[in-house]
This record gives sequence, C-alpha cells and structure tokens, in this order.
Amino acid sequence: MTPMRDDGSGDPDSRATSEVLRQVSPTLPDPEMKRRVWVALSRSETRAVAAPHVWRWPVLASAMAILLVAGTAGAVIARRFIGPMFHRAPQVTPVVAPAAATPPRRAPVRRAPEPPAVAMAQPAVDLGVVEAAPAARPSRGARRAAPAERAVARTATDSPAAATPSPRERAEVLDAMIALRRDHDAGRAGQLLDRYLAAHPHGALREEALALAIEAADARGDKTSVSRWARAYQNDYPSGRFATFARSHLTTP
Amino acid sequence: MRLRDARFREIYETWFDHILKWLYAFGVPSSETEDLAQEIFLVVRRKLARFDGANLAGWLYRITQLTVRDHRRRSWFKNLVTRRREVDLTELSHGGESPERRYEQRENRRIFQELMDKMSEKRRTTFVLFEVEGYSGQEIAEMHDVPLGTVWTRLHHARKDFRRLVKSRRREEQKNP
Repeated sequence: MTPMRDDGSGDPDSRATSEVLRQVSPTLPDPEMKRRVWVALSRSETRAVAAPHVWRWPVLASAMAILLVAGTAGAVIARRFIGPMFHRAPQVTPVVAPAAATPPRRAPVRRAPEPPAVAMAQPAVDLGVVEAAPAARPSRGARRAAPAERAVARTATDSPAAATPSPRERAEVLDAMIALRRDHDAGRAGQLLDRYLAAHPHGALREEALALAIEAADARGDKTSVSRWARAYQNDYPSGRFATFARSHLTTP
Repeated sequence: MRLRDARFREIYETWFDHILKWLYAFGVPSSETEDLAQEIFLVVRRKLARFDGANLAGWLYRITQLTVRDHRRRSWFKNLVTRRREVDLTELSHGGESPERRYEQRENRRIFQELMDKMSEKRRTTFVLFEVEGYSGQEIAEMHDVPLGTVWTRLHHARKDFRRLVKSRRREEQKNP
C-alpha cells in the first residue's frame, strides 16, 4: 500500500489530502533531547540509590499522625457519647408479685458517676451488692439496672420465704441506699434506715436494711450503732447473706 | 536493574527516536514530549527484568500508550485546578529558518493535529505512523500487537475519515474565507 502523500494524481479531494500530508513533516530525531533525557534518567537512578525509600518516611509519619488523631478522637467519642448509652440505667421495672400494686413513678436512678470513696474503703458495699444481687454478675439485662435496685428487686424474688415488700418499703430502702452510695450522705441514710427499721420491724427488706444500716453507721464512724445493728442482724439472720459482713463488724472493737 | 545495564542502554539508544514518533502519533504536545519520554524509560527500566523478550516494539508501544493515558488523566486534573495554558515548543522561535517558513510549518501542523483530534485513537495512530512517520504495515502490526489485516482495515477507515475531514474543512474555508 502506497502512502497517500505519494498518490496525488486522482480527483481534487485526493490531491488536497495529499497536499495536506506533504506539508506535515515526520518527527525528526532530536539528539539533544535524547542526551538530556539520559542525563535525567541517570540522575534519578543516582537519587534512588543514594536515598532509597526516602519518600516513605513522610508518608509513614503522616499515616501515624492520622492514626493517632483518629484513635484519640474515637476513644473520646466512645467514652463521652457511646459509653453512656450502654451504661445509662433504664426506667426501673420493679419485680413485684402479681397482687402487688404498681409502685409510684420515681425519677430514674442512675449509677453514681464514679466509685464512691466510702465504697472503696468499706467492703460492705461490694459485699452487699454481690451477695444481695447476684444479677450484678455479667448478665446483659442485669448490667443495665442500677445495682441498688437490682439488689432490692433480686431480694424480693430470691427470698420466697420473705414477704413481698410493699412499694413504700422498697422506696424507703432505695432512698436510703441512694443517699448512702450515690450521695455519700451517711447521716441521712442512717435516719432513713432507722425510720424504716422502726416502722417495719418484720419488713420484707429488713435484712438488707440492717446491712445498709451497718454500712451507714460505719461510714459515719458511729461504732455504737455499728455494733448495735450488727448484733441485731446476727440475732435475726445468723446464717443470712450478710452474716459474714455483720460478724466482721461485730468483732471489730 | 542498573542504568548501566547494557540491555537498557541498547533499548534506549535504539528506540528513543521511535518513542518520540509514537508520542507525536498519540497527539502529545511537543512541550510534554521530553517529560513523557523520561517517564516511559523509567517504566521500561523498572519492568525490563520481567519482560519476556517476545515483542519488544509492542511492549514499548504499550508502555508508551499507558503512560500517555496516565499523563492525560493527570493533566486533565491539574489543568482543572491550575488552568495552565499548554505551550507548544514548536511555537517558540529558534534559529535557522525564516519566520514565514516557521509560521507555515506551525500552521500546517496545527491544522493536521486538529484533523487528527477528530479521529479515534486506533485509526489516528495507524494513520500517522504509516502516512507521516513512514512505518510499514508490518511494523505497525507488531507495535499494536494485531494482525496485518487489522492494520490495513484501520488505515483504510482512517484514510476515509481523513478525506472527509479535509473535504469539510475546505468547504468551510470556501464559505468563510
């Protein structure tokens, strides 16, 4: 096949195309450009040998910085916004016998924002929660409820022998527990518990109230009351769930 | 792989001018030819160890094609951001020829490039390589890694396109002299 530029003998259109092609010259060799490109290639190779992977350090440093920032931001977001969603106590649904009346509506009780100093100092708090509320063990449903309420609610269901506590009784003991553990107001807790124990000498929550009364008196430093309530517990519940706790306070001088 | 490698040097010496012609066939402006040639040979150096040695012209042509494609993509984005004006080095003055002759050459090349831009890449490269750069059909077939018949078919259609384009251009010039 002959090139079009050499075939201009036909019609005017063919002649015109041949003319256009004849006016375009082929690309000529450019020795100067060839030399320049070779020099540039040599330089690029020298750079690559002299400083291998230099470009990677800024990239790695940037990646590390981004990871650190993203990780910190994620941790903050999780702690501030996502974590509370899981730890927020839902509305309390007390466990009551079918015959019992519906308890009055109360403000939702939330877990104290940080572990109370009293609780750290006194094993009674842990003891009370663990013994009175086995639901505190990592079961999904129990984890969402406030420990104080779990303790009371669990007590009501776990002690078939005990009478079902009335909503009023439950409210009184819960108030005392909140005053003691959340508000760290051992004085008010003591008053509430004294009132409850006086009003309900055979109440369904007497055992828990006595244990809390020991804890409250201990938090106040009232050794007389500690001994008194510990002795009362020992007499009423010699093999109760808080017997060890009461005994330890009984023997303390 | 070292630059001193005799194989790479041999390829460079033999094929550098061909690659410039191919770049022209792809419609790359002269201002970008040098950078692209360097980029192509960087790729060649990197990939030479893995080359099976079967069709060197086809392998180099394919590298050129892909490099030009990448370059166009990058340029498109860069121009979008910076609105850089392309400067064709052929437009810059250089000694040796009269201004009239330079203007004429520039004008011819510009018109030819305008016509070529209206053709598909396969037809355009086949046409330019055969009609302007003087490659044979067999050489183009090796470069494109296609049978010889395919080259003639593409050339046939490219010629038809070219005639049509020249004709319509002449008609426009007669309408608007």
